[in-house]
Amino acid sequence: MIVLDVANLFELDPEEIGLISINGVQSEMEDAVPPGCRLCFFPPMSGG
Amino acid sequence: MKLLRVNMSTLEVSWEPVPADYMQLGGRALIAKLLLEEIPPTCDALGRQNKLIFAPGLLAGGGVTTAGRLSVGGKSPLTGGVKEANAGGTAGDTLAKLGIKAIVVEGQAQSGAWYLLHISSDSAELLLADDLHGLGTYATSTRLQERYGVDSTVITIGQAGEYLLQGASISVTGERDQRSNHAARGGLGAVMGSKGLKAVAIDKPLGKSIPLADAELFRNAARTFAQKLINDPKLGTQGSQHLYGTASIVGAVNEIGSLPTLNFSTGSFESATELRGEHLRELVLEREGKVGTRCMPGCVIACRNYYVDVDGKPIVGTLQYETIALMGSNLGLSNLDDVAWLNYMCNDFGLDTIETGAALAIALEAGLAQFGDTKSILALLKEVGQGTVLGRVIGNGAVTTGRVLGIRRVPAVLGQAMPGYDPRSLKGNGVTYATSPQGADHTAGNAFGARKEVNPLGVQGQRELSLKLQIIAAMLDSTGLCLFARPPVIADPQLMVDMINGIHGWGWAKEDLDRFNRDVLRTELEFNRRAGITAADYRIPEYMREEPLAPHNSTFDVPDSELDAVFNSL
Repeated sequence: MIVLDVANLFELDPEEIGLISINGVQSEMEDAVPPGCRLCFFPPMSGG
Repeated sequence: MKLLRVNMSTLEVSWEPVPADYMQLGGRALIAKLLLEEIPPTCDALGRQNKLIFAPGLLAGGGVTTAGRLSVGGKSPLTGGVKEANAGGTAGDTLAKLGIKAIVVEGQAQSGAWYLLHISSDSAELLLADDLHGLGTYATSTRLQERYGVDSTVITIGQAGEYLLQGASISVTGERDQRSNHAARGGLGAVMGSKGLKAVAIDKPLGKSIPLADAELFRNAARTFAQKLINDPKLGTQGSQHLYGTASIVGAVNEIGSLPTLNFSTGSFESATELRGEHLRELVLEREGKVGTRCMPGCVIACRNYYVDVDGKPIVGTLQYETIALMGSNLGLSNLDDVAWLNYMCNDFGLDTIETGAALAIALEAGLAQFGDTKSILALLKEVGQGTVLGRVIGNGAVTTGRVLGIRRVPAVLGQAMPGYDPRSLKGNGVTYATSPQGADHTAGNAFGARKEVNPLGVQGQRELSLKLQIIAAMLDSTGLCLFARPPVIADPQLMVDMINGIHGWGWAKEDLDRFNRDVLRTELEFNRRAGITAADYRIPEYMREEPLAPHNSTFDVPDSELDAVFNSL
């Protein structure tokens, strides 16, 4: 399973995803999702 | 346009035409040039030879959304180098509408004497301000708005600036009773205090806008710019910046392990959920406070909040990410109410929350109180306002506090405390901290928004990324734009060129804008070089190269050779 599969599973619009992290490490849509990991989706945002 | 010179030694004010060399400069760019041309770089930052400059940006006064920020500058007592810090509020637009390119405060009043500079549409005068001496920024602002009208603008220092503390900020009022805008970084409040200038009060200008060289070009560009901000997924009415404010990033920064926690000893905070922007919004709305408010009239992003207590009584005009990081997780505090009270006290004393949060965390590491002990932390901060010896140590910032208390783990570069991103997990920001002429300053080039371009934990590409961001930041700070307004002008620099040409009629091309931006950095670097600052002074603290940061066990490992090469292609 890759990140995009999980996003689809939760019906998340890829355009509305600004940051993905797997176990706290920046990741991309095509990265594999290891079993038992912590996967986070964040909306687009700016540092400030 | 004209310059207003204020000589605090002779108590004379004078107007002069803008010199040709300064004409096409504004905000940070003008400050850099003026410092290089007019002050000895090795002068005492708190002495008579330093100058304090207030300068609106190139777009101020024309009604461009988010473009009314006021730049304040001088030689920094904290870094020993060039400093520009900017704040929202109404001062930037007000000065531009009065035709004032900059206020240059020179010399030094007699010790113990305090003055108010009052500016109206056609005059300026220095007045004795003994009645304001010892007041905090809130009381000073209120008193002066009672005197000069609720629509007047007040720029003031609090007790910290009067004590010449190097963490002192300068407060700027906003629309009517709006407060909490601070030009906070670099100890410029102490420079203002060293001049004997307690406050500046500016009458509301009679004119509604500035003259436009090409009104149609300007209005089209300004309208397009505003619409692009509204359409931006981060910034528009459904964007995280508007809904949750700058605190929208707490969760993400914590997740990537870069949230300053317990004096930068770990990059994630177990109670970060309590500090997140989503929680802040829930609390504020539940208590009938406000979210989505503005620091400048006409801002379409509107990322501020009006934080209230459980009874709905106001605590602070806005609670922002940097304060939440440095005075929340970094102090082991997980209750936003506690952070809001610390923020209020800093605002009132006129203190930078980043510098003071870092200094307080060092005091906690030294054992003066426990991390997470709200009552003791509030008591420590109260000492700053009271001017006790310990309070003055903390108020002088992280480096001084570390030296006095024997703490080596001091998160600072060029004498200035790091903001809310640990550079071991966000190495692009580390490169900015270690190379910016402004010292450790996220607004000088924040890599957080550029995650997809470069791996935050890696070394590759950080140098190029930081340079790109620093050039953009120089443009924003020189035009008066909020740093959050950068997406449209990064995507289409012609928009910025058209707005500038529409106001000033200079006929710039995109290449001229790029040269302008780079010249800001070149001028600042030259000032610092002449001030005696060397590459070694800019280094990230050694402990951050040695001490792995949880949760990624990363160190700051960008080689010095990479840092030294950042400006090779400037």
